[in-house]
Amino acid sequence: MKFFIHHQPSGLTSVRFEGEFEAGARVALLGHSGAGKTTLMRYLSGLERRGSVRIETGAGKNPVPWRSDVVYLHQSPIMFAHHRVEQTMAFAQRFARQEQLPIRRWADMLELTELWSRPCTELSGGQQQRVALLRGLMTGKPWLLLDEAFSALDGARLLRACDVVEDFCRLTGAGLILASHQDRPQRILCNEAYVVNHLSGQHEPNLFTALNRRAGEPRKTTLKVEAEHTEHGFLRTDCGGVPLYVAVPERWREGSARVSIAAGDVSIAIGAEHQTSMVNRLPVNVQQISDWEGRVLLSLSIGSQTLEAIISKFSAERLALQVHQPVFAEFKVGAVEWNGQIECTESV
Amino acid sequence: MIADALWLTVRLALTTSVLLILLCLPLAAWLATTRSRLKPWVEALVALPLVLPPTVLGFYLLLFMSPNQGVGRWWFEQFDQTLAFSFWGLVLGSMVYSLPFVLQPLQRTLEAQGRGLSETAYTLGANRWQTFLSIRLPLAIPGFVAAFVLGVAHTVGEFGVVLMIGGNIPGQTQVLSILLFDQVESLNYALAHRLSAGLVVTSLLVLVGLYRWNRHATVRVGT
Repeated sequence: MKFFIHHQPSGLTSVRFEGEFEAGARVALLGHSGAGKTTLMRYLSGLERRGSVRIETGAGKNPVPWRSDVVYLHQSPIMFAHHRVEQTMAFAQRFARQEQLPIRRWADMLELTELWSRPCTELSGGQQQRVALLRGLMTGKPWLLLDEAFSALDGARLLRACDVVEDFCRLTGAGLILASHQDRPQRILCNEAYVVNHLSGQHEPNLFTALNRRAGEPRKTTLKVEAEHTEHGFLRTDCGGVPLYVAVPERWREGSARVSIAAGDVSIAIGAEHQTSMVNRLPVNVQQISDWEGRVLLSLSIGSQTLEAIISKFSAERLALQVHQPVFAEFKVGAVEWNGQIECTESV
Repeated sequence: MIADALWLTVRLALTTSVLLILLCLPLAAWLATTRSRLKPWVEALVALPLVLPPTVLGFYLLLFMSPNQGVGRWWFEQFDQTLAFSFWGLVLGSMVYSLPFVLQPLQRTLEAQGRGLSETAYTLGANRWQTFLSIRLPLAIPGFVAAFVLGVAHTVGEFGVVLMIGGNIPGQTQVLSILLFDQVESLNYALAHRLSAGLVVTSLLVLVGLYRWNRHATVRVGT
């Protein structure tokens, strides 16, 4: 998808987006509130056309929204108040570009099956969000634009919704552009970032660096691991030759996976000192030591990947940490966030 | 006499309201979504009958229906009768007079649906026409009912315009409000009371029915 959007409303900030997303790309749209993420998505989906606009997809140049290759889910799910869930799905089905999508399975995963005959307006916010998501997927369009589409979901439902989106993108080869204030869906589903600021934007090659930079988010490291098997009631994964244990997710398979660890959850140990409550104990090397909001931020290398830890100045002085020093990064199983198993096309 | 006036009033009110609904639907849909600079002008023009004395409207309509020019002449040539002082002349006058009462509820209903509703349908793949028929129109049913009922009630209650362009011809242009005026002028207060009380009760019942429907419809569509 190529896009060129220039618009100068009188007396307002100009809109200036240019770039290209490869077919099937998984893009996290990053930026603070009001930066212009929704504006960009509305232009890409053909719903906004003011200014000098050129959007090129497989559907041609600047197609009208109903012929566009993009399905866009609004920030707040919009329900057709005269529809029951099955009717709203049937409505989307009328315009579906792909048959044979596993809608029933996705409906089960999203816990919508039992809501099938309920009026859409009687559903809770989270239920409406799941209905809107499934309705959007039914179109089978080549681009899925999700604008805070997971904001009312959390815990297992959030993960299952991510699984459904992942299934959709894998089966159809669809691209994904995802704006979300929660960083977890983006860590699970995306491979690249596009940072929006003051109604313009630029590509950010390293999604996870960009996510970690995001103001207001606790710093997290996302690691690429290989899921192996369950052991001692945990899922054992391999992280650069070292075992890393994760709480067993609802769905998993052997192979490539992503996990995230908040920097504040990582403790540093030297030598044989080992807190027994810390199931995970990874040998790492100190790469960099820096100040971070009155504490100490450590960049730790683990194989070719980097893990971050935030410790107190007192601990850093007590441990007398130095660059290149071998130490152990310790953290509980509960501190490891499972981020799904989409194919990792880049080093995370 | 009363039966003739009642039947004429009912025919006039229903014909006027049905034709107005058909006329106002595309106009309301356009007004609800357009960003055109013409919009305030069109809205003001449509709302004129709310502020103009009925006699002004009646006067211009009478000129408009004159058999010596324009539409009035065409009508005379086609049907060999004048448009003024005929049933269809009354329908035309009533349509002009009741236009804002039908258009505005429809327009407000369609405006209240918001852009997001249509946009969601578009992005799912429905074009404008499919969106209108499958989504916007069914959701606008409460507005249609309100517009229709207001159109009927307002047409039943009109007096000045009807008197100007229809006169007072029993069985042809003498509607209930004109008959009532006639009875008062003849000092026949007993019949005038019956007609007035009948109109008051009927209007009250219609409005109670409308408000009850509105409440039911609001709950049903969840707005």
